[in-house]
Amino acid sequence: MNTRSKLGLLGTLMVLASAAFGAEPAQDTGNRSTGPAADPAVLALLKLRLSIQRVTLENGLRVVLNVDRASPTVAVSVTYNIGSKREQKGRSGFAHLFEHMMFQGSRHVKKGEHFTLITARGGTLNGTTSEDRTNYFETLPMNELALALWLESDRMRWLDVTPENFENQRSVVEEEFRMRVENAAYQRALIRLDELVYEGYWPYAHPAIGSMQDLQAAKLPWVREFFDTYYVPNNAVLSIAGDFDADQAMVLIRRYFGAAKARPDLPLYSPGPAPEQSAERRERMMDQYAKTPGLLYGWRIPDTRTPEHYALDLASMVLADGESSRLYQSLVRKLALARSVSAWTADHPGPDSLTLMVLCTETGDAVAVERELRQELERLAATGPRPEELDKAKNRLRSQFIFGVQSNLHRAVRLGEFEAFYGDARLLTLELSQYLRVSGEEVKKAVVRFLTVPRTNLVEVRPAAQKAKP
Amino acid sequence: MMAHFSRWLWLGFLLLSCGPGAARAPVKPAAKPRASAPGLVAPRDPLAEPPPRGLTPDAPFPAIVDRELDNGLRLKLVRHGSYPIVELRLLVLSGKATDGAGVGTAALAAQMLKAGGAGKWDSRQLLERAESMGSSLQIDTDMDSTEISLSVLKTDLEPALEVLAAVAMKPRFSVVEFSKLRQREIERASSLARTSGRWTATMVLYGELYELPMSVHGYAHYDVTPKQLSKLTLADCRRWHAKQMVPQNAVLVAAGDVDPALVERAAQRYFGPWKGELGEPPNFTRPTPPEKLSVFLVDRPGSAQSEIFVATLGPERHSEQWVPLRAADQVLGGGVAGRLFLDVRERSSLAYSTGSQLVELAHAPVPILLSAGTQTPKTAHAVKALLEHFEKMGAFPPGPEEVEIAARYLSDSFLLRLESTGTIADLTAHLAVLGLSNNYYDEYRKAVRSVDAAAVFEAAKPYFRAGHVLVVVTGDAKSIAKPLTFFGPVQVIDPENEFARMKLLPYDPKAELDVPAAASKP
Repeated sequence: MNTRSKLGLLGTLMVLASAAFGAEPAQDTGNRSTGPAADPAVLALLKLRLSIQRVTLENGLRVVLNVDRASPTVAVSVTYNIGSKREQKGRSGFAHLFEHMMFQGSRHVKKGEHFTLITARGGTLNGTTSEDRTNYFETLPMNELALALWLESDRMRWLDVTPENFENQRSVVEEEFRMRVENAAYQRALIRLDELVYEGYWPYAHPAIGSMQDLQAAKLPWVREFFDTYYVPNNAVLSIAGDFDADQAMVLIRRYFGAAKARPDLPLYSPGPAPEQSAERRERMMDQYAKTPGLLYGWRIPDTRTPEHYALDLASMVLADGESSRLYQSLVRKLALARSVSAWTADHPGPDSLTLMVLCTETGDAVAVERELRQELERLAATGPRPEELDKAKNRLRSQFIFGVQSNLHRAVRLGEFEAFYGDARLLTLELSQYLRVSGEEVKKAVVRFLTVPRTNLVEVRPAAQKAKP
Repeated sequence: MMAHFSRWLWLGFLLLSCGPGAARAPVKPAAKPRASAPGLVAPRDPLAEPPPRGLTPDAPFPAIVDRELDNGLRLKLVRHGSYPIVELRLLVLSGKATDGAGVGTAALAAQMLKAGGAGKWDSRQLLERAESMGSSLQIDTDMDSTEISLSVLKTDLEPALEVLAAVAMKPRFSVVEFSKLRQREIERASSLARTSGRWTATMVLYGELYELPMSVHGYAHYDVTPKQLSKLTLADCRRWHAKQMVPQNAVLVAAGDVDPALVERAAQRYFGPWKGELGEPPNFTRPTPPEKLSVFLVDRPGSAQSEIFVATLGPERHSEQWVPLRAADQVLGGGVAGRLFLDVRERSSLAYSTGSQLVELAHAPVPILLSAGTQTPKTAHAVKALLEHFEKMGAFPPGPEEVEIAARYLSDSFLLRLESTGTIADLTAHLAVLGLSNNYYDEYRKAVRSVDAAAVFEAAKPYFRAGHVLVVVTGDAKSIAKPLTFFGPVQVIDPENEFARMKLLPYDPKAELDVPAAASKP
C-alpha cells in the first residue's frame, strides 16, 4: 500500500499543442550521468513514437497501429469515448452495466461465444469502464489478429440485447458492487471523498460503479439508446500493438469496420467548469470492515498534462511513493502512527484530483497523523523537494515507462486512450520528457498553490463496532 | 511489478474479471471455421463467420544459461527483450514451510532483512539506494521460497547486485527496527482478519488440508496470526537466516539485457564470500485427503458477501497426472470459457468472481480450489453450485470440445507470457523452486496439446470425489450458518480471536438453503 496505487498521464487538449510535436528535448535533472539524448527510457519512448501509425476511416473510426515484433503476440483495444462522467443523474453506473452487455453476444456471436473463441485460440480478453472511457481488449498469438477484429466489429455493429441477458448482467454487476464497495473496507470513504472534491461537478462526483439504487432502477430500453448513441465508429479508437503487418491489418480493419455506420450528431460533452473550493471540507464516517482509522485527503488540482499537474504528480511521489518516501518514513517507520500511506493523481482528461490515503495503526492517533502530514506539506511548500528526492522520483518514472512499454496490451490500451482523449496517440511518448523537465522550484510552487488548507477535503474513517457474534 | 505498469495501464475500477467455465452452457467447437455445404450457391458472408484459425507460431522459452559459483550459489541467466533492462530475483529455496515451531518466522525474518538495514546501509539508506535506481526492493515469502527482487536499468546491474548481496549476506538485524516491524506485521494480520474474507478462509483451508495427527506439516500455515507473531523474537529471525539463507540453498536469476559472463563475474564479486550450512528440512509427512465433507464457517459479522472455497488435495506437483489435471482445472474454472464462469456467473448470476486453481507447491500434494464470492442470502446456493461442479468433474468425462479449448488455451496463451522480461524472470525462478528442468515449459506446451477427454477424466477421477471435500466460507455466521448445515456439520470460527472454534452446528439435511428472513435483517 505504500506504493502509488495509480499513476496518471492523462491531460487536456489545452496543452496538447505545446506538448505535441517539436517539443524540446527534456531537461534531465536526474542523477544519471547520461544526457537526455542518451537517456535509455527517453530513447525507448522515441523508438515507440517512430513505430506508431494513425489512420482515420471514412466512418470516423480512428486507428492506431504500433508494430513491435519483440514477441509473437498482438493486442487489440477498442476505446469508446464514453465513461461514467456522461451519465445522467439517476443513471449512475449505467456505462459499466452496459460494458457487461457487450459480452452477451452480437449478430454472429452467440452468448458465451466471445469467451470460448478467444480462449480456444490462446487469448485473453477483458473490458473496463472508467469515468472517462470504456474499453474492450484482447491479447492473442500474432496469427489471431483477424479474430479479435471480427469480434470487436460484430459487437460494434450488431449488439444483441435480450431481457434475460440484461437481468442476468444486472445481477452480476450488483455482485461486483457488493464485492468492491459494500464488502470492502475504506471504499465508501473513497467514494465520499470524490463527492467532496468534486462537489457541484457531477461528472466526477459520482463513482463509475454507480449506486445500487440506480443499478436496480436501470431499464432495458436504455441499453439500445446508449448503444445507438455512443457505440459508433466515430466515437471510438481501435488500437493494435504487437507483431503484425500494418498493411494486412488495414485490409482486415476496412473489411470488418469499414461499413459500420457513423453517427453524425454525436452528442457533445460540455459539462462546464468545476466550481472552485474556498473552504476546507471534512467528514467522519464509520466503517464496519475497517480495523483501524484512516485519513483520506483529496485536492482538486489542474488539468492533466499541464505543467502544474506534472509538478504535483512528482510532489505526490516525493510524499508517498515507495518506502523511502517522506510520509512512509515518518508516519510508518519512525512514528509508527500508520501502517500504510499512498498518494495518486486520478489523471482525468479534465479537472483532476490528488488523493492521499493514510491507514493508521490501531493505536495511531488520527490527530497526530494529521498534524504530521500537515507539517510535511508545509515543509514541502517551504523548501520544495531535495534534489536527490526529485532525482529519485524521476528515476522511478523512467523505470515505470521503460518497463511498461514491454507489454503489447499496455501499449494498445494507453495509445487508444491518448488518441481518444487528446487526439494523438503519439503524445504518450512525450510524457516522460514532460516530467523530467520539472524543477524542484516548480514542485514547490505547485504545492504552495494547490495543496492548501482551504482546498483540502478530508474524510476520516473510524472503525465501527462489530455486530454481536452468533 | 505492479508499480511498473501502473502509469501505463490503469485497469479501471470496474474490471470485468476473467473467471472460470460452464457445465450446462453448450460449448461450441468454436475454434473450427464453419464449412459451407458443397454445392450450395448462396454467397458466403465473410462477416458472418469467425476468421479461420491461423498457424500458431512456435516460440520456445528463451534459453537459460546455468552457472554455479564455488560456494554453491546457482545462477540462471536469460537474455530476453529489446530494452536495456534487467530483472533480478535472488531466490532462497526456503519459505513458510521452514517456520518450524515459530509460525511466521520465515516471512518475518525475510522482511527483517530489509527493515533492519544491511551492510553499509541502515534501513532508510538501503531503501533509498534501491528506490533511487528507480526500483523497489521487494521481498516475498511463499510456502517454498523467499524471493528478493529488483528491476533495474542495465546500467544499474552492479549496484543492484551489491544491494541484493548485502541484504542476503549482511542483514543488520537492528533490535529497534525488529520491534517496529513485528508490530507492523501484527497490525497487518489483525487488519486482514477483519477486512479480507479471502485471507481468513485461506488460513482455515491450509490448516485443515494439511492437518497431521502427530505433527505440524510444513504447509499447514498459510499466514500468521497476531498472537503467533507476538511470540517471535529477533533471535528466531537470526536463526532462520543462518540456517536457510545459505548459498547452496539459493538461486540468482537475471533476465533481460544480460551478458552471462559479465553477470557471472559480478555475482562472484558480490556473492563469492557468502558462506553457510543448510539446516534441517521441514516436515512434509504426507497429509490425508479429506475423508468426508466438512464445513467451516469463518465469521465476518454483517458481511455483505460470502467468500466460498471448495477444496481438496490433488497429486504432487511432479506427478505424471499434472498436465491432464491442469487441463481439468482449466475446463472447470481456469478462465472465461470454463464451467464456473459460464454457469455460476454468466448463467446463474451467483457471483461476480469465480474460478478454480491448482496451487503449485514443491513438496506435497497440492490444493485443488474452487472459489466464488456471492451475496450473503445466496451463499448456500453458491456452495451447492460449486459442489455440483466439483463432483461432476470426477463423475463424468468432459466434452471433447471443452478439452480442446482448454488445451489450446494452456498451450497457446503461454506465448502471451513471453512479452515481459519480468515474467520471464518469474517463470525461470518458478522452475528453480519446483525443481523443473530448463526446457520444462516447451515440453509442457507439447504435452498439454496432446491431452484428450479420456486422459483428463482419468486424471480428475481420483481427486474430485463426492463427499471428500472441504467447504470453507467466510461470511455473516448469523445469517448463513443454518443454511450451510444442509451440507454437513458446520464449525464456526472467529478469525479475530486467533481463529478460535466457537460452536459446532449439527448436520441438517432438511435445512433451507435460503437465509431465514429474521437472520438477514441487520
